[in-house]
Amino acid sequence: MTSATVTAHEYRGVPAWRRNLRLHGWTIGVWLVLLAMVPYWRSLSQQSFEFDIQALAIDALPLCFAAMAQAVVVISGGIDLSVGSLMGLMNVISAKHMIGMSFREAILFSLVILLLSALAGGFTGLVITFTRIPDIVVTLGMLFVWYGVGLWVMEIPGGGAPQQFYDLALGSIGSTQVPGAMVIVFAALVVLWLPIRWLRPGLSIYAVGSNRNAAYLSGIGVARTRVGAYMLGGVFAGLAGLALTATAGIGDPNSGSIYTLNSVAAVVLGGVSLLGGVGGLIGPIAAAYILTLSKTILLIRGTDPNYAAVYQGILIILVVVIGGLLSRKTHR
Amino acid sequence: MSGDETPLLAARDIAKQYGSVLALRSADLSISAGEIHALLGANGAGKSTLVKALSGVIRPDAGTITVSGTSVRPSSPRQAARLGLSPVFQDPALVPDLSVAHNLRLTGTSVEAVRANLASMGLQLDLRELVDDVPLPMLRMLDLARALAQDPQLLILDEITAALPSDLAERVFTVMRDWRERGRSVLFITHRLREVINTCDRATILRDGVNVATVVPQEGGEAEIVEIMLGPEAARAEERAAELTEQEAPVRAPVATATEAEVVLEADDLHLGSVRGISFALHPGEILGIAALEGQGQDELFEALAGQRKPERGEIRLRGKPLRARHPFDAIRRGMVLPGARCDVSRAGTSRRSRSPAGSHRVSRYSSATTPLEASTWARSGRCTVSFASWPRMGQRSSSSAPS
Repeated sequence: MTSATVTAHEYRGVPAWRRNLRLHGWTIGVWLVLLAMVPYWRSLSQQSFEFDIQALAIDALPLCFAAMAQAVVVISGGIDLSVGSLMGLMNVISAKHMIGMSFREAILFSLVILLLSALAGGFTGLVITFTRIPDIVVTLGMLFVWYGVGLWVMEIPGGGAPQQFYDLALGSIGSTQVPGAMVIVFAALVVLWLPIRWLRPGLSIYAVGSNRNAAYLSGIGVARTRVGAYMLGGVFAGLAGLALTATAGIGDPNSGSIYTLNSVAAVVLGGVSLLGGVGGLIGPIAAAYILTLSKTILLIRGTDPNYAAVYQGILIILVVVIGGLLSRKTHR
Repeated sequence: MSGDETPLLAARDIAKQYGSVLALRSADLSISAGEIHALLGANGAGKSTLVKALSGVIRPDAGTITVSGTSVRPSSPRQAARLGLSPVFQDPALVPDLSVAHNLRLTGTSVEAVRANLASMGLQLDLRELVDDVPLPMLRMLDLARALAQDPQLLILDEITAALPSDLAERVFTVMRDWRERGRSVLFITHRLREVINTCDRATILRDGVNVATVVPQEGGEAEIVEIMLGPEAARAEERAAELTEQEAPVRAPVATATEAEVVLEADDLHLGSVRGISFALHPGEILGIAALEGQGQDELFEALAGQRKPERGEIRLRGKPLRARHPFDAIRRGMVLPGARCDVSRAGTSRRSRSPAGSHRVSRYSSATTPLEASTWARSGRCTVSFASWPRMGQRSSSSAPS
């Protein structure tokens, strides 16, 4: 986009508003789309606003975490097709062991789950960087591996967790009407992502996704960073698995399967470039709500569930095409 | 090592093989403190490989590197920087999707130092800019400012001037001289011999992965350097070409002289991007050299000739008939071929011709990026060449594609 005839010293630069629009425009846009859907949704719904928001937050919780898991990996220049089956595996492990536990034990066990899923993600990353097999191939393989392990852990749906554990996701915060499920998502964002986002580890993830060679020449450990991104993705996948346990109440080895492609959809809709290096986690979170809400709206309207999938697919393509056209205009 | 003075940097017997390609056979390089040292060689001679070995990007298969007498094995650019070796690579080592400031944070470079360095070069840049938004010449200067901020003993500049307009290139030379005055050293790689003669104290010349000579550029001049760079065989061929030129032969092949009036390729008032009104006519067997600074429109011109882009105005005619290509296929069918990028020209004669349709398709009569030797062979068979090359000596006929 730079005109080569400009001699550098008379270069005036890109106006700040245009740069900010380029950096944050998509995220803001996708949140506006979400907000714009709310009045329409409310006009169809018979329930109270508080009830509806609570239901949406609970519904969307696993997808929010799956989207965050996918986003971190895609920003680093990879793609993780094993997100869904990894969260299914964490779902069955947690449901199998938490059923007899106290709340305290369940919380501690959740940390074990997050550690396990981080190791699982890291293992995927190591296989990718060591063998130099493309991400999509390795993670496709891991999709089946984690799914198989999940079946081995728990063949038929079952298990559970203490009631207080469910309440984390199903309840509200204190006496307010703020859904706990929404708070958990943003707490995870603030605790796990924002602290590293603007520091060297986070910037390295963006750098490696943006241009691996330039990142290497800048002195970044490319392999280390990529493994790190898969580990962090694993942590989010673990949270997603726990969210499945909390929202569904049981473990089900098949529960994660729909989330792999939905997480990719949320990432694309949320403004993360599949080429890597561009986007964030806040956009995909909004996209996860949009995808969940659009399904809810179609359900209320009584649309045949089979057609609903068609509408959702069209929605994804439309939003990305319109977003692409708009951002191309601002890049001129 | 010469005399009693320990060189700042000494590389000995550096070898590196990529697959079946021997990039460096056995290269020596010795740089004293306080000198500007040029590293010269034809494309593929191994210059960039040597630079990468010195800066820790690649590990050489064999050889030793010493810095101020201490043996080192830089295994990453970061480590090389700690040893006092700061490279500016051929391609900007800046991540496009991050801001300039974030790029500096990534490399642990002081923002203040970079800003000061840019200012001393008379440049201003908002460091919040996305690298992707910054024009290439400015990125090269930024790369330089960043390397300087690491306060290196040896500044390594790999073809930094290739992408720079002359006024910015001048500033780079000023920086290099300043650096020498402080007793530091510069390793400078360029294809422009004039720059070497004007700026460099010594020059090491590589050929086929071996250092063939170290010369003082001011003494021998361009002619000597070219001769050493190309080697006896190529130099003889060049000589032969020169003789033929005197007889008016290779530029216009015998076939062609008879039908002087025939025009094969004609550009008529082409407008496209920064191309503003280029016209030329080529007769059979002619080589047309295009000379221009980076970004003066040569890329667009060649893309138009190859059918990749449509001219905004004007016309390209092949044997009198307009070329209206919507796809490179249309141009190839009419005999216009644009071989691949110049970076893999090294063993042009064999590898590249076999890959490009120029050799495999009978219809190909014109090639638009090629070496002088290739072009003159081409010319003798009555075909035309439009050539843009960063080769020390170009064909005899040149036209500038610069708009003014």
